[in-house]
Amino acid sequence: MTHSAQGAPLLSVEGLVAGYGSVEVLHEVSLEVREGEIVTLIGGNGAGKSTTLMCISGIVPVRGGEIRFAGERICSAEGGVRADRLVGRGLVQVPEGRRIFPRMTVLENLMMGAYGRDDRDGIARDLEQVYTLFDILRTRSGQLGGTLSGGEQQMLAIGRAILSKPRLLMMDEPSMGIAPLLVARIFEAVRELNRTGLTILLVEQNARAALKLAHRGYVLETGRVILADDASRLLVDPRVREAYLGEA
Amino acid sequence: MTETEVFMQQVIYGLSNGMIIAMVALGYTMVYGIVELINFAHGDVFTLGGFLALTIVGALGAAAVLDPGTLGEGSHWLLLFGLVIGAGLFCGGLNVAIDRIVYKPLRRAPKLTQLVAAIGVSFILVNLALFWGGAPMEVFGGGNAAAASKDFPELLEGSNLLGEESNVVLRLEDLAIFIVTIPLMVGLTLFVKKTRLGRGMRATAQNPIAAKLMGIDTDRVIAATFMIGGFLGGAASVMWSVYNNTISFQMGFRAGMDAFTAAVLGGIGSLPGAMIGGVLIGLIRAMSDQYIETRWTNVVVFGVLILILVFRPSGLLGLKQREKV
Amino acid sequence: MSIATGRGFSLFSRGQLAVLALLAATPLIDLAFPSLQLSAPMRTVVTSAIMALGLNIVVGWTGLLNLGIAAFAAIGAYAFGILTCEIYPFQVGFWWGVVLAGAFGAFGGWLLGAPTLRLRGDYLAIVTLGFGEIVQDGLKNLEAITKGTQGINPLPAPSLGGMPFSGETPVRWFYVYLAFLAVIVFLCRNLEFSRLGRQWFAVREDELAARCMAIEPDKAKLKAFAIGAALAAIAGALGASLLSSTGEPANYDFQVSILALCIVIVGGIGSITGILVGAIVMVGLNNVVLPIATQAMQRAGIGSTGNVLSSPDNYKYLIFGLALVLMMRYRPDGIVHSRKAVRK
Repeated sequence: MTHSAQGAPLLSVEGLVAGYGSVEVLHEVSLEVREGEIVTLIGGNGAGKSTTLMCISGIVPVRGGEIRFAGERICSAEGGVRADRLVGRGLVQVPEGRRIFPRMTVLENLMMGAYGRDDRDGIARDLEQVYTLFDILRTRSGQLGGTLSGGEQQMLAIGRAILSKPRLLMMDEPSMGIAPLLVARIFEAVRELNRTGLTILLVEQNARAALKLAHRGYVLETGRVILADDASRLLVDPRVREAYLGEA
Repeated sequence: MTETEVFMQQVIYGLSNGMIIAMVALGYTMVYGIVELINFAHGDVFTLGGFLALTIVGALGAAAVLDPGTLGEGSHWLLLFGLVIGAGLFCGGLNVAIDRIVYKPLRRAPKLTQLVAAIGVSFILVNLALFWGGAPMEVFGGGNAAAASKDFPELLEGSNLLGEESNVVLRLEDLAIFIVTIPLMVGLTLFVKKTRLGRGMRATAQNPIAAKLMGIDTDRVIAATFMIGGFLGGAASVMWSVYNNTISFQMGFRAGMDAFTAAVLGGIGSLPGAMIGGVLIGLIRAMSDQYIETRWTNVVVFGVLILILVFRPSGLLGLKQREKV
Repeated sequence: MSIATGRGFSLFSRGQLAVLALLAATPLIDLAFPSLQLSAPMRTVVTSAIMALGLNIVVGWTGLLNLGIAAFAAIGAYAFGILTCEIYPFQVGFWWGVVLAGAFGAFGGWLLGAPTLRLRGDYLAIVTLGFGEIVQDGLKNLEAITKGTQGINPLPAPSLGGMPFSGETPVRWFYVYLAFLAVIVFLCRNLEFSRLGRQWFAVREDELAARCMAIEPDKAKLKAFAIGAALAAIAGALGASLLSSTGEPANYDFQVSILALCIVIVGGIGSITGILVGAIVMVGLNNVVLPIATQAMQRAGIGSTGNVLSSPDNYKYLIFGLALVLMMRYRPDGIVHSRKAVRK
């Protein structure tokens, strides 16, 4: 993967500290995502990847450091922009485990993504884009979300996020628990979305696939960034190969 | 009276009471659906709605209210709607305040901690109702015997709507219950289906974190849920008072248990379930009163509650275990 | 059952001993200030403490919320009544009456628990509440057996080796009840450190993990329910003997269950010493402080029956309610361990 044209930083996380109860999970995590990039955050179980995304989305409170989005401070220990307002600014997350609404139809789920939007034409256009990207969702649009397969639910979750009109799309483990064939399909969709200009922050345990897709990558270990480099270089980095790609 | 007439009469009683129970049940089911809390204080919020209604009637002058000459034609209906809205807003506001002050700080606490706190709130409200019943107003017995039941004046008088010679009696109160409750239930259903806030409620109930990630202000959604649930409870309390012509500071316990049973019977978390469950409990009570014995009716209702919880905890329309992370 | 304290043999912990000694000394207060009329409330402290200790096994140690503990007190009281009252053919006497009342209570707990203990915590709580109401209404309606709202009376007082107890010997009577309490505290303390006690804690903390350790959660829960119910039933029997009547079924209503819950929660859930203290505080408030304050205010001419606010007795619900709400809000540590809680 070659470098794409690098834009201005869209998201910057600086010295982020966060945790649950008496446990500190993130110890001064810093990372940056520039306009137009795919950046991946890889690491083992419990490294703090999901917590990082939940902090950025304003769900988990931040204890130290700050998060800036599109040049504006959105989060710090003193408080920040409320989670529900971040979506309107284009900071959208596809959460781990998909979290679709099981008792709503596929279409209703997608429309929940457009919860804060009023531009009917724009919504219709984005819906069409989602249906083009994942044709199966069009076929299943009247079906209850809870009845979809895991891979289809993941597509639904991504589609729902697209309807939130993201400037930065954060995805948490989109490949988790999904048949390999569908994983390839979903990663292909991520690439396509990026081609249309969408900036993406991808959290993955499947480090190889993520690094092949991304421009740059960060390696998170027990709440600290231990490596940050171009994805192509991380792919050949011996430490990454040993720890995350299963090669000696 | 023939057997059929007796039965028809019980159906009328059952439906009327059932609609009131259903309104209260909606408050339990909505709150449970969204924050997974059995709002034990809901029945006592209902009680306070009845006390507010009686206070308003007393302030207007119970005698004047009852005299058709003073208020003029149709004014009783106007007063009834006014009471429904007034008690509804009061109970809704009270419910929101309780959530803010007591439940919200405990949102992440264990479920049983929240339930015990809700029981505590229930007792506090019972005591407030007791104090209220001792208010120095004529309708409250002028401050004497705070704990005694209070007469609620007969707002709607009139002859049998089925004709004087009919053995089966359909009173104006029965009609009023349907006139008030059906539009509220239809309105609620449309609200949840069609409006943005309503969709936000459904989303928050199904997955609160995902709802936040969709840009839904879940705090506002929860407050709205308590508001609406309380409003329906308040409206129900007025209808209950008008229908039974008596209120007491402990009436919320019974009404609350009936309504909670209805919510569980219908499938807790389900709006149509609460409505159907309420009507069923109303009918079961009426039939038990008639064909078993009044004094066994509460046992019958609690028996139904336990049997459902043991054998079909998801209720008639409920879903299997909610997925919850 | 073993004495597994790890600190050598002792009947009671220091805290338990201190509270029991304090209770044992209360007749002195009664002697010094006869106008307080403490002897009757003090016996109620003892019976309430026994009931709360039973509830604690279920709520505090096993993590199941039981809102109908008063039903088991009712079962105990009525069993005692039917077994001892002269209008029935049994007349087994005070001691057998209490023991059999406990057995009936355990049976009642088992009967309720067997089909319902698999339910989720909040549903189980509501089922126990419903059971409490059913028992109350059942006792009221089955007049042929229970005498309905009149209650069963007269009932025997304890007697020991031909030495009778009666209203004229309240101090002796109190000590008999205190001895009951001491024995039950001793039993509870041993249960706490027994195999069964550890099973309860395991079930409370994590049912799944408990299962992995070859504990059968349903059996452990059922035992907790039955033992808790037995203690409540003994408390009910002792209370009935005290009044020489079961009283009417409404004496065992939801409010009584909540009083027991308040004792457990205010005193310190899971702690035997805490519960003894809780019983003194809550019953003291309910049966001594409020009535005395009410009388005092009436004598002083401040309180009148016409003003509901001027009678401290009318603040009971408020006090119970505030106690529960404030404890949950500010002292939640150790309070009601639900399985769900630990996972979160």
